[in-house]
Amino acid sequence: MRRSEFLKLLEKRVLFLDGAYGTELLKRGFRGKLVEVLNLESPDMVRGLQRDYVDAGADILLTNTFSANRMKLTQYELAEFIERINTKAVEIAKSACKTDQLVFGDMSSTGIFVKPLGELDFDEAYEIFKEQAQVLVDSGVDGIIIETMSDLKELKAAVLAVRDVSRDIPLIVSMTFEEDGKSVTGTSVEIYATVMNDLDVDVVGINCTLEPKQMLSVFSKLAKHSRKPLCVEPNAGKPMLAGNRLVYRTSPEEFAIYMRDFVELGANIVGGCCGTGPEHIKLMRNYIGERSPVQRVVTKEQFIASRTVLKPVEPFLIIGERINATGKKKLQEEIRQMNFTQLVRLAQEQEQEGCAAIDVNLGLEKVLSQDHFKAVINELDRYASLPLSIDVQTLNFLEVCFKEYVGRAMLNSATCNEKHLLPRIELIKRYGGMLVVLCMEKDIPEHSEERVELAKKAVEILKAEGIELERVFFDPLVLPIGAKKDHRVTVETIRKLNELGLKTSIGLSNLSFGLPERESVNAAFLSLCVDAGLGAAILNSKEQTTMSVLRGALMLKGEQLVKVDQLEEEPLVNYILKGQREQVMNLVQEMLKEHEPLDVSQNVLAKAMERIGQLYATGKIYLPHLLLAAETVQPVFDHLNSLIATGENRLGRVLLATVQDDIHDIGKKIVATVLRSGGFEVVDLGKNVPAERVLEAVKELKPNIVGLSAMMTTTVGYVKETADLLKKNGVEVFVIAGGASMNRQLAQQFGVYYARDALEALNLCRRLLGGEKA
Amino acid sequence: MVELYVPKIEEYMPDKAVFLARTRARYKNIVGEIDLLVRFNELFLQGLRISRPIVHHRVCPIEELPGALIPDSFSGAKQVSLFLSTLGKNIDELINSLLEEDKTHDAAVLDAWASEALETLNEAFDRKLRQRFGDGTMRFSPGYGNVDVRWNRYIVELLKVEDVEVLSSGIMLPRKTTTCMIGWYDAKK
Repeated sequence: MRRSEFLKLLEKRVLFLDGAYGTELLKRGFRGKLVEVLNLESPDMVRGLQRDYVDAGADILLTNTFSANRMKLTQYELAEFIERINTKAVEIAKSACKTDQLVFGDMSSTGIFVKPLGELDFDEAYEIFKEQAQVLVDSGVDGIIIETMSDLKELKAAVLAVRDVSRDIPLIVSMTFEEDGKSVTGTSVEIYATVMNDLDVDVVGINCTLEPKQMLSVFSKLAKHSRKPLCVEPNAGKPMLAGNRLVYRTSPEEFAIYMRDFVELGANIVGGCCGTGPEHIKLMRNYIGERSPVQRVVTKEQFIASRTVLKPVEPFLIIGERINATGKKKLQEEIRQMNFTQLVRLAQEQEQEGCAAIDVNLGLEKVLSQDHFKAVINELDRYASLPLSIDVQTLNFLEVCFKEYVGRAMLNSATCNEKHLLPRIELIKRYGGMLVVLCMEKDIPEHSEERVELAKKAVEILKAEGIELERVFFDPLVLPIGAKKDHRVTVETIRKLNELGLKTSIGLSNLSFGLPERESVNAAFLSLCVDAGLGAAILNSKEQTTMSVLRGALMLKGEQLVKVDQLEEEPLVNYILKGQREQVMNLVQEMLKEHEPLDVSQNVLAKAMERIGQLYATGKIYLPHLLLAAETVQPVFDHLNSLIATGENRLGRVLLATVQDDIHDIGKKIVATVLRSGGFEVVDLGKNVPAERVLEAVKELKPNIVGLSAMMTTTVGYVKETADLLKKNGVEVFVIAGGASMNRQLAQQFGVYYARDALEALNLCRRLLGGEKA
Repeated sequence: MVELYVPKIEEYMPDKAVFLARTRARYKNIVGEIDLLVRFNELFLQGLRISRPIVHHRVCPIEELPGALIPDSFSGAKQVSLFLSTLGKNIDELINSLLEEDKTHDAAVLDAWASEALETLNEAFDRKLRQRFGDGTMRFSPGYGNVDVRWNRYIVELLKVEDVEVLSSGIMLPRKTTTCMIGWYDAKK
């Protein structure tokens, strides 16, 4: 099916997607490790389920290929069957269709975070997705869905991969969020929508994790921010144990009633995720019926974003200028040597000073390689949180930055010359983002009229390329008044561009280059520019006069800068949050002069981590911050522990394992990191660990606590098996379970403790070793 | 002969836009108010859980029925289907207890829900009968047009319904109960 036909169909009526595969096949007797194997070993079972979905009224069937990418199949030693599993899945789904159902190739995560959060290289992720997409497209799918993604960067790799396989295949993307509207990697649903507005995808959706009731508010945010048609697939609640069977509590009627709300909120495609079956799809289809999609009101506001921070560009965008290695030999040299300490510090400082974005200019680019640019983007993603304005001249370096960047960055900049402008337009078309266009070609015109004419020329090019002008800032060009340049030309150009409805941005400090009292001059000029309609400036946010005058100038226009939420924390907490390990160590060394190591460890460092835990629990920081903090304090704890007599230094020993047949590792690793930072000794047995192996390890290592992780509904039963085996063998140990398929009620039924996330696990471990009985 | 029909759940799940309109709320205007929406949905589910919908029905030749029961619009019909549909007494009791607890909002919403659920059921059963009997008149209920509402008593007795009480006013208890008639032009089916 062509994209245009699919989009036309979406305009006509609400479409129905099928329900779950894993949980439904389990219900139907599947007892293996990976449901995708059924494509080869028991195709009739898959076809039977898909026929039931067709009979229930599904318009779109997904192929049984959710985990059929090379990375996942390798974990099950099935990589050699990748082509057969995917090809066969398409064949089965097509044979299950009766009338005009569509078959969408189902793709999902590799199970490993992309750098810098994890170990997977972006290009590697891209190749994994491309391989699967190629097989699915070659096998004749009508479209592709990439679902249950929790890392925006991994999703971006998948989107690019699918689009490089086919520009004309309909593409649905879907991320999974917690009830607070954030993914586990800290990306909000608004950021996701903003990034997907730019990327070449047809439908944007959310699925899994939440039941319909919990998903409503998350979806309503998506509906407000997404300019693309929407898809939604909630779970049928959390699994519970009924006898020996896992059951999902959302009944078909409850599911149907809530799905009607999603349609009213603007969903174009509705379906089900874990726990839903043909009966859910059937009742939903009957209840919702044939219906045209609702016309949504979508926010017109433009945003830039990093992985975790979304900033509106209106009424005024302050972009910090100080990461500019031009003329800063020390910074340039540090960058060349892959030392990003100063660069990260500059980014963090500018955030504190009230910037909404950070301009990144690495100076002399010919002494740098692609690896430098890649590393800079990843370091800033890891240690700083503001969106970036990527001020890079060399086109292939610019592409590296945009490929690696997570969020919606600004491309700074292109000239109005077609040859310069077009490749940069291509970059934002492929990777998303906003663009700054300088009102010049080879030379800078003397007069405002000529600059405006050039801008008009650029507008025509942008329009012809399908770029909305809302995504573009025009830079009227600020020249040094010290070189006898007339600043009024810039002001006049801003005014004229503003009259044409175009956004404007300037590089402020160039004005006062070589002058005394730069701050006053900059501030006065900025005020004139704001009055003329300026919308953004790259400036030195350390200049307090400039910042105050900017606030005043905006107030005179009846506008106000969005208040910057700043974390006011004590220095140690701040250092830890920013990943400034050296500063943490220095502070600790100072304290050691007057305090015992145990005192510093437990009363200072552990307290600081407790505070960070609170910040995480109250949504003030996100998982990447928590992980960074944990990693930052770990060597400091290790150092302190080396100074403390053995036996005193650890709160207890925790043995962690992902249960048998489950290969999901991320969550468990996060728990390990946080537990270690909280003063526990952690022994990680890895993934796919049988109950007997856990028992052996418990006997040998004598941990205080065993932590078991189960991500899949097909493996959650092993938590009980392991806990039962430990009990049967008379082992006195606390057992805590966690993971996507676990919940508190299930844990109670299994006779184990439950921790929802890493922080809860840490607090529970502390509580258990503080006196509770096994 | 009187037949009984127990409807499937989807046959009495009212459309939200319509049921909310009965509460004077516009679905599209309140859909952004998630808490309110969830509350409506919980009442919806509660209504579904406790309702015991059933339809009593029979078909008779038109000449066997009293002339005063036959509306003018049935002219030309050979047979008439009469049916009584009810959600049962539980929903009445729930609405009453909510009122007693001063939960007027919930009671009003549930009342609107139940009215629309009954209407949805009547629509669904109407479609079912038409599949069986072919061409027919529009559905009609006593109390409209030139037929007195007190004819409800006659219909309840004709259909031998024991769980429904008809007051002298013609009002039926449980309250979420209706009687309907459809005339069929073809006598053979």
